Amino acid sequence: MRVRPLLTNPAPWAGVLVTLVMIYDLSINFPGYRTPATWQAALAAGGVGFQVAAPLICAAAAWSVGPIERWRIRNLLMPVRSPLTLVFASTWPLLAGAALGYGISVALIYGATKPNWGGPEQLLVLLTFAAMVFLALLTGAFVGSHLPTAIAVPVALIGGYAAVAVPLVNDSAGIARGVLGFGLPVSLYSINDQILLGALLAPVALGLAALLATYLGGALTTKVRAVLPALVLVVGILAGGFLVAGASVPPTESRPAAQLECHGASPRICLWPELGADKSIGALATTLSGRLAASGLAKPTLVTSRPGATAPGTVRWDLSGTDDQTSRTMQFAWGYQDMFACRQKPQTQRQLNDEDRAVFALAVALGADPAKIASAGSSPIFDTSTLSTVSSVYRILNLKDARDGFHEFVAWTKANRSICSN
Amino acid sequence: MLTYTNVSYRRGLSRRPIFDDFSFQFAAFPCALLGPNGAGKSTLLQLTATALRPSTGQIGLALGKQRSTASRSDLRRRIALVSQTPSGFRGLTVREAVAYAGWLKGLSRAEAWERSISTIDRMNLSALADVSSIRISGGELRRLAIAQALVINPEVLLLDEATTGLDPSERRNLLEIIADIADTVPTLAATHEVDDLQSVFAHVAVLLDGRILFDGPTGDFLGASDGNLSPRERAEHAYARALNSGAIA
Repeated sequence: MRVRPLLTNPAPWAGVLVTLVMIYDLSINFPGYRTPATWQAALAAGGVGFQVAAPLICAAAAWSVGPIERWRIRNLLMPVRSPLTLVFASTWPLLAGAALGYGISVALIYGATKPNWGGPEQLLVLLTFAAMVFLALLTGAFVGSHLPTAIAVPVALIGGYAAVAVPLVNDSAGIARGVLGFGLPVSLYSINDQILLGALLAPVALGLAALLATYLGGALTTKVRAVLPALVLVVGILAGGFLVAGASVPPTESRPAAQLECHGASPRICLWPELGADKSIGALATTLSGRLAASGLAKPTLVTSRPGATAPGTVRWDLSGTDDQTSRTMQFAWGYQDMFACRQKPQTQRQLNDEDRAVFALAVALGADPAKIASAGSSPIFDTSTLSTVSSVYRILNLKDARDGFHEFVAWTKANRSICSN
Repeated sequence: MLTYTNVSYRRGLSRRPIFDDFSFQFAAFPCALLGPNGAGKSTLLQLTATALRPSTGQIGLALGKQRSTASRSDLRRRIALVSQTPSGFRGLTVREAVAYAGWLKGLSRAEAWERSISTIDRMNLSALADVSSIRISGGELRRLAIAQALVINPEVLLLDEATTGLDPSERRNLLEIIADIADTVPTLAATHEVDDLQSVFAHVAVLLDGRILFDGPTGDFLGASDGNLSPRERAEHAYARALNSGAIA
């Protein structure tokens, strides 16, 4: 059988539109397609297009499914096939368009960010988006089957848009935002964070409830048919609400230490899987620790990606996954300086500037490129008009050469003791 | 054999049931199901085809040595119902509408498409195969609806007022087709038109208020021939007689 003409089944051309809209929306929300370098961030950001595509899918499903379903019922063509099969038979181009748009979006992000593989738990995002698409599709099919097409399509389009937009811009609709899941694509800003499990499962609960309600709507006997699908949907909504109740905005949490992959002994190096997969990062940590020891500074016992690690001898290495060598060295220097700093003590601007000067000096001594160092970590000590030359950086940091940076840092640690002891 | 066991059905929130503990068997075909408007003919056919669900009771189908069954999907595969007011669909040609009906009833897409051509040929619709199903006449629409029913090779064909509203020539044409089909497919046809009863249906059942008032061969229903009455008048008399017996009972 051929595909029905486009006027009575807009799914084929709407599917193409869905793909294009998703890619366009990604380019607007993520310039350069850059996200934190985790698979979860890439997979989540790849779904940002669903914020626009979902209302389109909802409206197109109403248009595709509604007229032929009403005709089928009017003509008493009682099907053997399930309601889900009937819906998907008309709307599969929408699903294909959404899958293609999502796939291209993730590919663009991957091309720009190149995240290393971070473990199978990242794939739950795929299930979440699948549930969101099915929810939009089934909602549209339901509306289309119960209202005249001329009313159903605008209702599905505007209603779908409202369901996406209102919770996104209205903090008091946090539960709705969590249950519908459209905030997820713009949730992750750091490799150190992950989306809350509940925020991923809430749309899945609702999507599964919609699938089950649609199935039950066609499979049950008269008396329960009217009640049970509605009951299943209510349970899905309540379950979703329960899962996201109390979640922060955005619904993220620090990644658990269990995700760290550790190796080595002196220092022990514990990195997120995405970072650990790049062997040069672990090797750099070993090299930098060796340089510290060779200069007479204390060698760290642990270098870790995990935020909040404050044990003595621990360097908290805050990498994004897309950093260059200078940025990595700069971040290492910041982490190393934290071993000595007394952040909770009040300091004057001059003391803060000294602290900045010391950490930049240490980074230069560890091998960071002085010409790039200011852009790798901003500080008021740098005059932005003179940052491009190595000599100007050395002058600001009071260095004669790179190795002098170790002395500068040691001098700061001594001066800093008085701040810590006050 | 179509069997109804303690079937009850009421429409919506209506207090009065259309069928109340209805038990019956249609054992002989082709059978005309007669009854006035509101007697429950269409409801009975829709219950049989599972377009409606009885609030209680069982409906089963057994032919030959096959066991009776009440499974909904099984009934849908084996029983086809032609609606009283069939319509075309803008997006489907005549052949596609037939194939779509076959697919709905469980045929694969390829098989439904393959079977659709012989089915529309049987219904004399081959010339209209590629015409939009909304651009055909009322009589052609009835034949399309029958083709949609026949594409699955049903074990029982249910026709709901198949000839109502057609002009005499279309009606004659359709009755000939129905008679031809009824030779091979057990057919139960709801109607309140008694013309041509004898030429198409071997059996008659009369339904009134959810009860079968008469069930038997068409000859018994019409009674002894009276030379003064035309076939139509004879059928109308028999029909009135049956309804009166029900009213008295």
